[in-house]
Amino acid sequence: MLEVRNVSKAFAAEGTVTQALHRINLAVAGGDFVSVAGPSGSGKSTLLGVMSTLVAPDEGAVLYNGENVAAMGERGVDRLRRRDFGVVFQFHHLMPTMTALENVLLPFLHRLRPVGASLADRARECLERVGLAHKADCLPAHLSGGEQQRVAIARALVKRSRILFADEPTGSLDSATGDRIMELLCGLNAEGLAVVMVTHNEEYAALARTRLTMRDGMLADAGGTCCAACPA
Amino acid sequence: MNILSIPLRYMLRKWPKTLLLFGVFTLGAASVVALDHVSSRVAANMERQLAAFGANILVRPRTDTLRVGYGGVSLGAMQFGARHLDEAAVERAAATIADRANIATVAPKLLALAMVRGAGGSPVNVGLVGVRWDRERRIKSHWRVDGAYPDEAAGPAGPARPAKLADPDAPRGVVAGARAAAALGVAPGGVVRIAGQDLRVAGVLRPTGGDDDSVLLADLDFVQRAFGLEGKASFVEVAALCSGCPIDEIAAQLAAALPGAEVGALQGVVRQRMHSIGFVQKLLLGVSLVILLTACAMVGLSMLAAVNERVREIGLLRSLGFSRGAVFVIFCFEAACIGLAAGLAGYALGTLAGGEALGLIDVARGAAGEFDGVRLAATAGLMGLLATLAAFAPAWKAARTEPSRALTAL
Repeated sequence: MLEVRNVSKAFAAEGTVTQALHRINLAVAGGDFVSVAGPSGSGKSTLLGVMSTLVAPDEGAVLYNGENVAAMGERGVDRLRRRDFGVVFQFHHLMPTMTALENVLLPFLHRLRPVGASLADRARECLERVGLAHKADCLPAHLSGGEQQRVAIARALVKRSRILFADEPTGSLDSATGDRIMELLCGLNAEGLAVVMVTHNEEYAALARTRLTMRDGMLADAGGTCCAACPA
Repeated sequence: MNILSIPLRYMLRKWPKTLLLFGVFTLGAASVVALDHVSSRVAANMERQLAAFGANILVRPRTDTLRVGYGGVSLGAMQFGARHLDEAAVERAAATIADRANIATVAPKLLALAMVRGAGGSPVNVGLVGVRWDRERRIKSHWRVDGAYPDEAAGPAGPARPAKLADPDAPRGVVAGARAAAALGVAPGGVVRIAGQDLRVAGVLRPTGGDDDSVLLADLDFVQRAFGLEGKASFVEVAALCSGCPIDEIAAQLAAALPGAEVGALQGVVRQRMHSIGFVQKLLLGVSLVILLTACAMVGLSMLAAVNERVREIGLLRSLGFSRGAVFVIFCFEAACIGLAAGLAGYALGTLAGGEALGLIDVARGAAGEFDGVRLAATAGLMGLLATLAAFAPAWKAARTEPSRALTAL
């Protein structure tokens, strides 16, 4: 479904060039669960950014269903982000001035046409799915970190994404909340949603079907554990 | 909910910031509206007053000149044709032309040369000008008189009409030009004898530097009767309001209505008048532009700060598939809302403030602030447009934000 071919990415800052990714090759199949672990600065988040089209690679290509993302044009990439890709960030990234329900509906607010009742119902279902139906009208400031992260996951679910990219989804949470988030991700993966997760946590990384480790912008090794390990 | 819900929610939830920006822009709009209101009213008032106090059209009898000479020897020029205008005809013409609403004052005058006996006893040849006092004083606001005008009930010199004159139709008195008074040796309260009648000198004009210094001014009716020219005038000065109407056109209309008269527009007066009004308007326009530019700069800077502050949110929107155009619309709409609301509030505030300010300005006394639906809509629309334009650069910057800005680790 998603393929990364010979992707390289460098960042230049204050005259120093940092090679964040160096000739990465990677494939994510439908329904896969990929974890990317590694020390800070190893290029994990950059890889996630490149795979989710948020970061353009310097070299190489990202293919989605066989089509080069770079050739899709800006409109095509926007459409891809809207329809097929869902992203969950480490620090939740909700719109602070919108309620939980409105944040879940955010992917549909890119146009003038008003959101219909059916989409609003679907958003409530997604909130219910992540156990936050009762907090639909709460502003992010009134939600805990774990709740905010679950709203972000509901936001990815509402548009029926094909792949969910999660950048350190448990990074800013306590372990109990982190466990609940991982439980949720594993459950969604079991239903067919492909998940690509960047994490520092070895325990959570071990829950993935495909485990990748990065070091100095390169994939150090790849291992696999069964998703059956997920606490479904 | 749609894309506009995002900026609306932001403005609602961040109301202190929104209120501050709204307040700044409202003050800007109110200042401009108030200045515009005051300038237009003051200009209109000034124009009305200037027009009322100064003639800008001159109506004279049409005369032709014939050079007389014989055998190469010139005997001079001879004027022929009507020497006087019919006062009633001119009044009628002024009251019936298409632009009659713009005629402020019609001031007829009859000129005559009279033997006047003053304080010295010996008669002196003096120019006598018959005028309608109320009209003359309206167009000669620069006159200053020692004593009083004959049409005033009483002045420093006492009653203008000599007590011994019991006849209500008797002339009320004269005003002497400064040089004429000196030549006749008269002062306010003195008496001059004209055409066998004693007239009290109600006042003496302070030197004007013009023709008025050398003449005696008396009631038009008296002069007409004294010289057997009832209903006649030597020339007529007309003061016309010329806001939005070319003075030449009014002159042409009068000329058409008065075939036996020559009608000329005094362009210099008009130009001077317009220059004064134009200067005031340009000055206030300049101040308004500075205020508007400042308000726009405030909106632009505030939006720029908002873009920098919300870069993660913008990155999030972009990562969710919002196009650059959609992000651009969000910020422009936010600015447009503030501008529109500020325009509405600014118009109301500015009109009220302008009305209050007009009350403090003597020149605009009598002018009051009033709401105008079209101006209200125009102000709101203009402020909305200006705010949107001011937000263009920040909105463009927001639209160019890369979605990767949402990734904290980068």
